[in-house]
Amino acid sequence: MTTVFRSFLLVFFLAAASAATRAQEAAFIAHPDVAESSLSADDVSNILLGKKTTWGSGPIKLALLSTGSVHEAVAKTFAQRSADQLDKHWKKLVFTGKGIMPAQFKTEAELLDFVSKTPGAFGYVAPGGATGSVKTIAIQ
Amino acid sequence: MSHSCWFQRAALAVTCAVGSSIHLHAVSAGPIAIHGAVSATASYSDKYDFYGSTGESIDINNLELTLNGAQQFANGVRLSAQLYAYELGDSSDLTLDFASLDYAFNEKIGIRIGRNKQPNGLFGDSQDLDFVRPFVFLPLGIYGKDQRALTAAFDGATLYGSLDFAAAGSIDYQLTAGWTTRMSEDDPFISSIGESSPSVTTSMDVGESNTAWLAWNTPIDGLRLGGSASMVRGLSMDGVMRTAAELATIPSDLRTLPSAFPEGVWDMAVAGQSTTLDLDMVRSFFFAEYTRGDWQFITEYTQMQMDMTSVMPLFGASTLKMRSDAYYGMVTWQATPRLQLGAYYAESFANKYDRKGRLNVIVPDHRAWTKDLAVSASFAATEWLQLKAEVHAINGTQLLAGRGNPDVTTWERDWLYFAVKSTISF
Repeated sequence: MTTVFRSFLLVFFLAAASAATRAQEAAFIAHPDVAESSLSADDVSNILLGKKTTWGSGPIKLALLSTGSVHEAVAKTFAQRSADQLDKHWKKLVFTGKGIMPAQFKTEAELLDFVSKTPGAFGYVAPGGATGSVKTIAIQ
Repeated sequence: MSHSCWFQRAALAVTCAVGSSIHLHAVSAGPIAIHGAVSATASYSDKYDFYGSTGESIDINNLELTLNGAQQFANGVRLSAQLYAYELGDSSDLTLDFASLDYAFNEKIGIRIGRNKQPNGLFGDSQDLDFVRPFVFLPLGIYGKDQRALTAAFDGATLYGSLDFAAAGSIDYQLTAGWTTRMSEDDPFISSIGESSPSVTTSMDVGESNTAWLAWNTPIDGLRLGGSASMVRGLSMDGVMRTAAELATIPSDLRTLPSAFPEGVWDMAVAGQSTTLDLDMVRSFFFAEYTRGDWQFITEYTQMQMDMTSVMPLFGASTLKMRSDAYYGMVTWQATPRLQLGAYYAESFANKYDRKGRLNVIVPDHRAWTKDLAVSASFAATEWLQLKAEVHAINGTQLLAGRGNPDVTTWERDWLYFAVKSTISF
């Protein structure tokens, strides 16, 4: 019984540590009108890979950074791909009729501006980089 | 190269000119996002013509132009369409690659209606997209360029989605139903069908096409296992029987058919007569893909069974069952942000019950197989320009066509094939 309890604790702490690690990668943001205030890590993965394309209220407009350590960390942690592999994944979706290319931005300021002005938009910036013009989405 | 490719050449020239003068990004035409790709491949073989006149000199044997437009409406419906123009050896065509309306109810289920890409194995729907991988050519015996008209797209509907099984991972699925696309008389697929046949195929009707495709994203990070099964039924072809002289040049044991008759009877009673061929085909794939960091490891096994019923003059109705199979192992490595290397070893067999060609009578035994070791390097010169070089060391002549090559009885088993390719994508 003690072994089972210890195993349970270990799994619990590993899961908590994993969630904390994921939260450190980036701050996820959405347009202020998006109703959802939290997403699971699997939801984020599905959005980044083009599998989840709708909020409860309408289509998701995905915004990606085109370069940088935040983009690489998000691609690796949530999409299990390198930034280059994620880019190729989206090209594959677009050229097979299975997706529409996400908006891509070189700077976080441009991405923030897009997300704040585009209904349904979802993206990410460096931790602490979200402004009051967007909604911060908690990752469970 | 043929003279019928003025469109592709013009498009190639225009796109290259535009591409070299600006930094390429997706073009936004109002709410419509436009993407595209244009590529040119040059190939050379030390012995044979393969996809063009590659046996004597370097041939620019494959030009491709892809133009894609998509729009997402506020209600979530997405409209996508893509034109694909190509020149491959002596063949060229401008095709509607796909044009579909897509709506995802949620991540579990969505529907795509119209002309859809055909999911077959790992690369069936993306076989034309060389810019997402380091290779110029995918394994030739599995994703042959001359087979794309039958395997690239279909007209009908696709149900798709991703089912989450928590700790057990998730399953992506695609279920399709519809019809094969109509193809022109000089399509490379029709040419390849007639390559070793006593008749020349003159037309082909569409057949029913249904596919089930599954991929299990396992709990092991980066490991994906899956498979697909596709069935084509009622594919009907009309043809005309060859003359004895024409038949004597095909790379098949069927070339001896006229000798079963008294001299001159074949040409008098058989040649020029109409034939029909009805084809049912089942193709299955099993695949495993493992991605770890900059490395990717892939393996696939595929088998195809073709049940054919033909009606030929004098011979009447006859049935033929063909069972072929193929497999390969592939590895790719992103060596630097710009340089990607890849290699694969593939084997394919025309008859899985005669892998060593023992049933061949006149044609060499190595006509039964292809064993291909390919090594490739891809360099991203800019964000939008990719340059590739690839070499194939091939054992076996299963994939060779008779046209352009010497008589089949003189073919040698081992040959080399080189290819370089440049691709602009935006």
